[in-house]
Amino acid sequence: MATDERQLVRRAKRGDEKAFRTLMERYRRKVYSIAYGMVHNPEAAYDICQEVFIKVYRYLGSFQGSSSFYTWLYRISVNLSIDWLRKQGRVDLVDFDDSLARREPDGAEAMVVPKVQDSDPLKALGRKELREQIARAFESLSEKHRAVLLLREVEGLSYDEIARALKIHKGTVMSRLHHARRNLQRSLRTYVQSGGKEKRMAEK
Amino acid sequence: MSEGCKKIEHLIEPYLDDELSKTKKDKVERHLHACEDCQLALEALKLQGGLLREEIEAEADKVDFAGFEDRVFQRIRQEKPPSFAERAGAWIREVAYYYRAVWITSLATAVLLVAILVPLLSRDTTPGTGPEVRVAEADNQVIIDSMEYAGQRSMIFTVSKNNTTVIWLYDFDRAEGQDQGDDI
Repeated sequence: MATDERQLVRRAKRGDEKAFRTLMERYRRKVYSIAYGMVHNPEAAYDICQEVFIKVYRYLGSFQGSSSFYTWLYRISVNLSIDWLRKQGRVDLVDFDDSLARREPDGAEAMVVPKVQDSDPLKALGRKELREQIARAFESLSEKHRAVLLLREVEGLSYDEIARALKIHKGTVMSRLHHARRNLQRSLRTYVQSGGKEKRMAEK
Repeated sequence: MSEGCKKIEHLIEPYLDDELSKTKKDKVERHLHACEDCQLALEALKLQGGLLREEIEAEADKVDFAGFEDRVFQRIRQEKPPSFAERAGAWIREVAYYYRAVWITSLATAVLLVAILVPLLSRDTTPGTGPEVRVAEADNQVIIDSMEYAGQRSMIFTVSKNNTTVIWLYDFDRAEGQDQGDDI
């Protein structure tokens, strides 16, 4: 944790509202991104984002300075998002993703995507479509998989940091990331393949 | 998929995430240089990570955060603060998690000391009585004890019949099997 951030956290712990305001300005967007990624609802994500900082303010005294402030902050963000999903009855009881992933034989399922990207005239459109498809596929992942992917791909945390943020083992982080990525890839591949078929039919 | 691909397949993601040692990183790069399939696999992973990031960033761009901090402070002043017990509970959970390595080592040492010292002391303090007699007295006694904190558990079986103490330390991934949302 950067020295300046340590100082901000220490000051906020002592009740310095200005320091806490600076921390909020620094992290509100990141917290929002996690909340949005988890719940896919802008209003709920904004509300969760506020709740996260209220909780942080109230419980700052329990924060252990030995860890990064942001791993603690992100944990609260993920947990409050899961609480919200639970209230909506939208938390997966069984992790279907892992069981599905195991059925697939290991192999070259990743190869389709770059070839689509290379089809130059449609590059911009292709990317936008792929992005929409990624968003849909991401939404269908379990909340555990969404959490690791968000912390890795969007927030850029290391495996160790993700492990600390989610209070899971590093091996679990790696395995969840692997399955989450594989599920996204499978979904994209299906989309690309069906897209190809549609295009051929349109040409006839 | 070639033999070479199979050997480095599990390293592709840690390579992408910059989690490899210099040696392993070099190994992956040597393979990538010669293998188009693995290059494509890596590119696909990079692409989907990038797309996801773009998508989430685009959503965050739409949000107007003006007045956000004021609203948070307003709610802080309006809403009931947590009780002392709630705050203390949160503090204990955090401390237990971050210092668990120290706790576990201390516990294991304490348990071992008890396991070694108790039989020794009990013999020493009863001069004239042979160990066989004590064993006979304490026949059929099995003491099972267990402790749990911070996702770690230890179980101690003390079988008096043959003076055996089994200390079983194990941990379980709380997040896998149970709710995660009950943390603060």
